[in-house]
This record gives sequence, structure tokens and C-alpha cells, in this order.
Amino acid sequence: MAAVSPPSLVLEIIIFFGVGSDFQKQFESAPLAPVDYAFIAQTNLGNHFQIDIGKLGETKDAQMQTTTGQVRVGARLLHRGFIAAGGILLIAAFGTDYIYYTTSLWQWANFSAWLITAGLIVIGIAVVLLLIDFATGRAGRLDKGSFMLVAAAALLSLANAFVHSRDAWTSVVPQGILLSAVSTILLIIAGARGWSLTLSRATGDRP
Amino acid sequence: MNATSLRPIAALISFMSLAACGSRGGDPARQYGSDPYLPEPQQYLLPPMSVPKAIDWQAGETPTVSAGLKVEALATGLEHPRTLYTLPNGDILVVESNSPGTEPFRPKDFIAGKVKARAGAAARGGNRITLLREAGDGNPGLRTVFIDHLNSPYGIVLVGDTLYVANTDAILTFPYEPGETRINSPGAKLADLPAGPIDHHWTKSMTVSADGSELYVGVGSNSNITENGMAVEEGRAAIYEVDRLTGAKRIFASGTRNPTGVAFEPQTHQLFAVVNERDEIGPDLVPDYLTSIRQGGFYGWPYSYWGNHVDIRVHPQRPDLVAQAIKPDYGLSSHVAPLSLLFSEGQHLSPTFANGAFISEHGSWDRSPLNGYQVIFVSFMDGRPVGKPMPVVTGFLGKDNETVHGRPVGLALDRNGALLVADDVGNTVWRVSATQPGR
Repeated sequence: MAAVSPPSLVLEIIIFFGVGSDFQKQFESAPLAPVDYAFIAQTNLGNHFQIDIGKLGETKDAQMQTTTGQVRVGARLLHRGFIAAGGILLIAAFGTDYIYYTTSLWQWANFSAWLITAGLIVIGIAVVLLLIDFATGRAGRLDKGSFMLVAAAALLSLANAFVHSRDAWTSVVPQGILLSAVSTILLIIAGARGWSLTLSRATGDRP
Repeated sequence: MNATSLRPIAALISFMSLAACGSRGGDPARQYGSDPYLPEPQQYLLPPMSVPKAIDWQAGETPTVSAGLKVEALATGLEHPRTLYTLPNGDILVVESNSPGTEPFRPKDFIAGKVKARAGAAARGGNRITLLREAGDGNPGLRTVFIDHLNSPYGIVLVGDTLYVANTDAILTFPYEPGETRINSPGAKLADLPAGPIDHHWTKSMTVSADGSELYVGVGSNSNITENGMAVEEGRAAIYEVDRLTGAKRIFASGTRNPTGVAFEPQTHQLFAVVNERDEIGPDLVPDYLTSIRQGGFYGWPYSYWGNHVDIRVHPQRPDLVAQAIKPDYGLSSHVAPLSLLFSEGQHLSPTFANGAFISEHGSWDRSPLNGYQVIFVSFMDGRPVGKPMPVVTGFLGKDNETVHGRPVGLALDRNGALLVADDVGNTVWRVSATQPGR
């Protein structure tokens, strides 16, 4: 446990308090202003930092004992990785569609059908996790841009799953590969925006 | 999220639900005969599936027969009876069989399999042949397992003292003595037939030439329309000629998507077949058909249908083959699934049925309203099909058209000229005879 206090991190904690949490409630009920609290310790726990907060003006040992809360800064958004995984499966379907288009080899069209189905299932899981992210306070506001990109790509891909249920050439050409291409463009933009559908709770930025 | 930003999503959803409805099929009568109505092909968003739910025949329920005929159950409780064959001594063979089963290749295959199972298509076949001896003349009747442990058998024909059974993967021969009720011989292989991998259309219909020298075997395609690749279509969608003694075989005609019934017209000795055409380009495409089979003829599949109507789902296309494609003789309307072709031999049932062919229509699974689910009669004149088909056995569907009690498959005439109908959902063999005997 190393006691460091980079100013930016302290700032983030203060912003975090401002956004609202159980910790904030303690602030509201306590007679102390935020300035009475100070950063005690930051622990790198791999996927997030644990930051211990204590009251000012006490000894280090006492600070440890009187730690009033812990904040998870940069705690992982559950939905984000699943949006990425589902998005990549849907992008891969454009690749297999393209190979089918150039070779007419049937198995590539089958790969596309499976990739689109799997991509939609994984994005379905991501939607559930997105709700959990909201419910558990991990997520900040919805990122409307990313949400629209992923929602449009998912709906186009749902239509594309039906197009790919056709038999032989017209399961891919022309509508199937066109839908995969448009979904791919939307998803690449969503990927460049970090795959997350929400803003970060701590900073208000996209994570 | 405001209403404006959701508008494109709402539009997409409404487009998809519209597309899902699909279109309804028109009057099947427009597609009977030599010049059927052929609408423009459609490309679906949702695969069209419309399957009635299988419900057992209740006690006393039977199919309906046309005027002057009566129907009774000859045997019940069979295991997916498909083909019927009458031996010279009057014993009736019932081939109990179903698909060897195929692995799903695509997400669609899972769903399609589940839907078709609703209509009883997934029932296990007996993989055996049952012998029925009708009661009468002081004979109490008999039912025995005639040949067991077959591999999705379908076609069956007796020539002299040899019984030929077409399993899905080979023609087997069994020695037969008149009156025999059980054959224990494992059978000898005469010739291999195209089967796995996949074996999408698994039935091997079979008949024999009038002189008994050649067997003719219908081999279905390995897909609807080449979605399993061209490599697995090698030697499929064809009618084979197999030398009865040596087993040497060659393709007699090709481009017949699924020739599920083959038979010789008794007056002209011309080979005819009923063929199941392709699915999923519309409720009224493509009409299944009855046609004479020319040696070396090409009947279009997969590249075209009804002559030179190109199927754009096949890639690369073959305009050279499309140019050669033969137009079938007689449309039966779309998706009726004709499975058995039986030429009448004189007027046992009624003078109406003196000259022509009975055809069993197993019934549609991808058309709304449903089509088929009946046995029809097509009159012949000078060795050619003429006029409109006449329904002979109907009433397999429930009155609401939402349920199905039975689906007709194999046809045969018994020793007395009664029409036998195998029902692979009701697991029954029906016997249709004249109400006034002695005609």
C-alpha cells in the first residue's frame, strides 16, 4: 500500500462525490465539508483502483482506523467488453461475406450466418449487463452517439440474420453483404469511441 | 433519448414485421396442367413456414373419399409407413422409414427442424418392412416383420424371385419365395446409391422396366437450392438406370430436384416421375410436377425451373444448361410434395379411374394456405396426362386447417384393385375401395 496523492486523482474523487453515491450520503449527513477529507491511500487492484479516504489532521495510524469509505475509480463497466466482443463477431461476418462473394464457396456463407447469430446473442447479453451497470451505479449517463451506433448495427444485423437464412447466393448477395458492410462501418466508429454505451461515472468522459 | 432519434429504429422494425408477413398463395388450380401460372420469384426476409400441428386420428375418424368409394384402416400403429408394395400372392409390404437424420448446418436448420417436427415429420422410422396379409376367405389375416434392420429404405420392387429394396445408400437384393412372411437374409448389395454426407433428400424411389432388365431409381438433391455447395450435388437430383443383374448404373436423366416417385405408364411403357420442386421463392413457386422422363434429359435443377426460368440463388449460373432444360409435362401446383406415383390398372375403383395415375400429396410446409394433403387422380390419354387432377382421398387436415391427422405417402393397389394409402403421421395404412363391389 503506497500513500501517494496525485492532485488529479483527488479531483476525480471529489467529482465522484459530486455525482452521487452512498459515500455522498455520508457527506450530506456529516457536519464536515469535503475539504475535511483527504486521500489516504491508492491501491492498484488490477482492473480498478481502490482509494481510501480518511479525515484530515489525524495520525497515519488513526487515519487508517478512521477510513470512512472506499471509492472504485475506473471500475470496469460490465457491458463494455461484451459490446466489443459482439461487435467484433458482426464485423467478422462482413469478412466471411466478402470471401463468399469472391469465391462462391458455401461454407463462408454458413460462417457468416453463425457469426451474425453469435454476435447478436453476445450483444443481447451486453444489454442485460448495461442495465446492471446502471442499477449498480457503475455507469454514468447514456452515451447517445455510441448507443445509436450499436443499436442501429444490432437491428441491421437482426435483419441480416434473416437475409442469411435464405438459401445459397442471395443469402449474401446483394442485401446480406450490404447490411454487413453498413453494420461494420457503424461498429468500427463505436469501437473507436471505446465500445462503451455510457459515460464514465467518475469523469463524465467516455472511458 | 428523444423521439426523433428513435425514428429510424422504429422504421426498421416496422419494415421487418411487414416483410415477415410474406404473401399468401393463390388458387392452386391455376398451376395444374401443362401451362401453369408462374408468378415473379420473391426473396424472403423470414423463411416461410406454415405447418399444421399433428394430432392423432380419433377412434372412428378416417380420411374422406370421393363419391362411390369407402375407406377403412387396414393396419394401424405402424412406425412411419412410407412405401407400399403388393406381392403377387396379395401380401402387402409396408416400408416403415424416415430420414437417417442430418446435422444442422446453420441456425436456420435448428428452427426449421423444430417447426417440421410439429407436423410429425421428425418421428422415428421403423427401418423395416412389415408384411400385411388381409383377412378373408377363412384367412384370419397376418402381420409380421418381413425384413428388419434396414437403412432408411424407400423403393421396393419384386422381379422374379428377387426382392429389390432401395435403402438410402444402396440397393439390396433378397431372395423371396411366394408366401414367405419373414426374410432373415441380411441381403446382398447390388449397387451403391448417393447418400451421405448430409443426405438432405434421402428417399430412393424405385421401379423396374416392363422387361425386368433395368431398375430406375430417383435420387433427390442434397439441398433446397445448392446451399450446401455444389460438391455434394455430384450425382444427385437425378434418375438412375441400374442394370438389375450386374448393378452397373448410369444417370438416365438429371435436373430432377427430388424425384420421389417413378413408374412406367402401362400402355406406352414410358417412364414417368413426380418431382418435388424448390422452395422459398414464393407460395406459388415452383409447381411440383408429373413428367415423362427422357433419356439424357435435363429438367433444370438447380439452375432453372419449369424450363428456362433462371433461379438467381445459384452461383455461378449456367446459361448453357438452362438453354437445354426440359419443361415438365404437367404441373401439380406448388409445394404439394407429391411422393408416390401409381398408374391405375383398369377400372377397379370406378370407371373414372380407368386410365391415369394416382398421386399422393404429402402436403406443404412452406406455403399459406396449406396445399396438398390429399391423394389425387390425373387422367391420361394416349399416354399423356390430361385435364385437371381429381381429389380422391382428402380430409387428412382438421377442419380448421391448423391440425393434421395424417399425411399420405405410399400408394399401391391390393389384389382386389382397392387403393392402399400409407399415412406416415397417422401411422396407418388406409384401404379405399368401391362401395359397390364387382365393378
